[in-house]
Amino acid sequence: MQIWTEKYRPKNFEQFKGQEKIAERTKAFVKSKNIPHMLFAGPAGCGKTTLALIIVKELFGDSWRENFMETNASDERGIDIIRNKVKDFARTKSINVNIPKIIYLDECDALTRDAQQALRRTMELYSNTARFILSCNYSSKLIDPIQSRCAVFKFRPLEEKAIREIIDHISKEEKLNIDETTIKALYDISNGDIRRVENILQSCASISNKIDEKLIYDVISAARPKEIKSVMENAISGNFIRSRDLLLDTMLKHGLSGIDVIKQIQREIWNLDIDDNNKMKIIEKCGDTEFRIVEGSDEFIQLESLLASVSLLK
Amino acid sequence: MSWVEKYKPRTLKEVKISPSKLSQLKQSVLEKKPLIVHGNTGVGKTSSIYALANDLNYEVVEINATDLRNKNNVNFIIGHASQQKSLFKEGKILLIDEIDALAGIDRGGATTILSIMKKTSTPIILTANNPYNSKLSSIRRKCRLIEFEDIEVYGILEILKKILNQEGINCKENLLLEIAKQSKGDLRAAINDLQVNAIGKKEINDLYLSEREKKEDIFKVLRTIFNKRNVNGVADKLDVDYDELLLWIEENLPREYKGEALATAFNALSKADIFRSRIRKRQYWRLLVYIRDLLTSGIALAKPHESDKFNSYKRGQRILKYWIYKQKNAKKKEIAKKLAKHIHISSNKAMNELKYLGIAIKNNREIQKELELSTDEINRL
Repeated sequence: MQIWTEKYRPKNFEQFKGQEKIAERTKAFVKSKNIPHMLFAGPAGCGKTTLALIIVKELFGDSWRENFMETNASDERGIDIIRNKVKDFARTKSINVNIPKIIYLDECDALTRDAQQALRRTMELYSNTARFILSCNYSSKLIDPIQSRCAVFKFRPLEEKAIREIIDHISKEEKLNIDETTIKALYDISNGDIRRVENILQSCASISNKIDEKLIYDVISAARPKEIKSVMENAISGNFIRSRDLLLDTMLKHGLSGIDVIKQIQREIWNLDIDDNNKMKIIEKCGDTEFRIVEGSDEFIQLESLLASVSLLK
Repeated sequence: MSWVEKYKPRTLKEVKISPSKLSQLKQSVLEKKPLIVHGNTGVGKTSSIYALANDLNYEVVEINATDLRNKNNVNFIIGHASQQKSLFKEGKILLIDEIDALAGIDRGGATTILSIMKKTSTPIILTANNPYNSKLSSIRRKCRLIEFEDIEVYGILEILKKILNQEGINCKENLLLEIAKQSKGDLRAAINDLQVNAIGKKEINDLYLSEREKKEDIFKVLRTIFNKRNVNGVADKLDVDYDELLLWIEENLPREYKGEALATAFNALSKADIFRSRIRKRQYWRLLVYIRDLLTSGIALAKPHESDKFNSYKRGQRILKYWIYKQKNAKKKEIAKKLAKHIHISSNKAMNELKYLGIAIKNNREIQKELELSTDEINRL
């Protein structure tokens, strides 16, 4: 295993960092060999998939592969996946052991409503032979009947302490030279997403063993293009058309989502050459725009609306 | 790259306009007479000028309507353009594009242009859809006028064929003819339609055409919305799809409104988009009436005064750009899929993580082997 997110993925409860209460509860389930349907809700990179894999491995030992199915609803979101693939796996008895099989359904907030209804039936009908672990970012996106059938666990972004421990462990194994301030910077960038941390770290390490803040910012510059600042500057000086053209090109070139852009605008605001009250106005409008992107269907129109109101400020 | 860009005429010989008009164009430039080239959207006004400049080895200094609103900016551009000889080329053409897009909005616009004409000895060409706009009368008196007629169907057909030929794509002639007819003399629209239908294919067997016969309806609706304040019922009388109307408004709004009005109007668009998504999620179609009102009255009332502009409107390029980008990124998506399987995430998420892990994959042979990347895919990184 060459990719660190896999190489350093915790393999048992002892290695698992953060989410202490949840780990403790699920460990008790494993011990009793009785797993309820579970819903893991929380942001990216905080241990949902890892914990599911640990549960399965502890539960089934060597025969875990035969008794476990993993599907990502964001890749296969229609009703067919539930009706066919999931149902076929769920209806047969588990192999070698007398414990229900486990089906891990990742990003299930991406399932359509129809698929969710079908899923709810499947959970009921085959609960003798299969148990579900569902994972999602926001549990509110799931229909109530599914939530009520699950034990719901809310995962938090990993805390600085946990992330620090993991970085320390990796740098020891990989012989990296990384100092305190750099670790702090890495944590700040990650928003508690350990997958992000490990990926950035591995990219840095492929360039140099000595990792400093500058290297980190070089590595993430592809994800945070400088053009966003100039998009804002054009908008502020009233040049709306140029600003929106540049924004579209930048988003396409770097594959940025609307949320990526908003996040970066919000970081960029304090570096802009306008007075502080106006900065505050943009921040407020950013929050509003982010909300509308989630609610709306065309994120670019929402961003244009933001740029149009920014172009009023000067 | 969009085909409209890729297959721009490089020389006047490739332009599908009658030779007499083209030689008039050339003559005016050589005599340094100010000139208005007018005609409908997409007939090749701007591209002919660039092609001519290429033939003459001239440089084109372009100002468009947005620059003209800002006098300092104009003086900056013109100051340099008019007082210096071109450094690398043999001459210069000053191109003021889409002059009628500005005339209605900016009262000082005409004066600015007249003063440019006085100041400079460089040949000036203006392009316009409708040069008979009353606000252009003072400029019109100083200029020669050349009208570019709509390109005839067979002219368009010929160009479409040539493009497919160079792209190595097959298509039955009757389908091409349909595209050409549908465009109603708008070559740009025809090429865009062709690209949408051809992208990623070796052979075109069926067509998806956004219906351009509705174009006039859309133009009428847009003209009412952008000019009038009381626009109640404008969208009901005409058969216009709101999704499409929204895109047309989005594209053209910044050329119609500015400042406060622009922001207010975009806020209405933003709200309309939110209702659109709510309808989709809950299948609650009654909300459609709010989309209609936001797109019509919401936009119309954002401006302080009525006006009587007669602008031509552009079709937005955004959706086409998304398409092209998607094609271009197909390879990257393949890499993301392979990565996704390995690290237990969806391919969408993997696409995003590639921005962070990409460097490591590029630098590390072992990872490439583990993901079973092809040389092609490695090069894409």
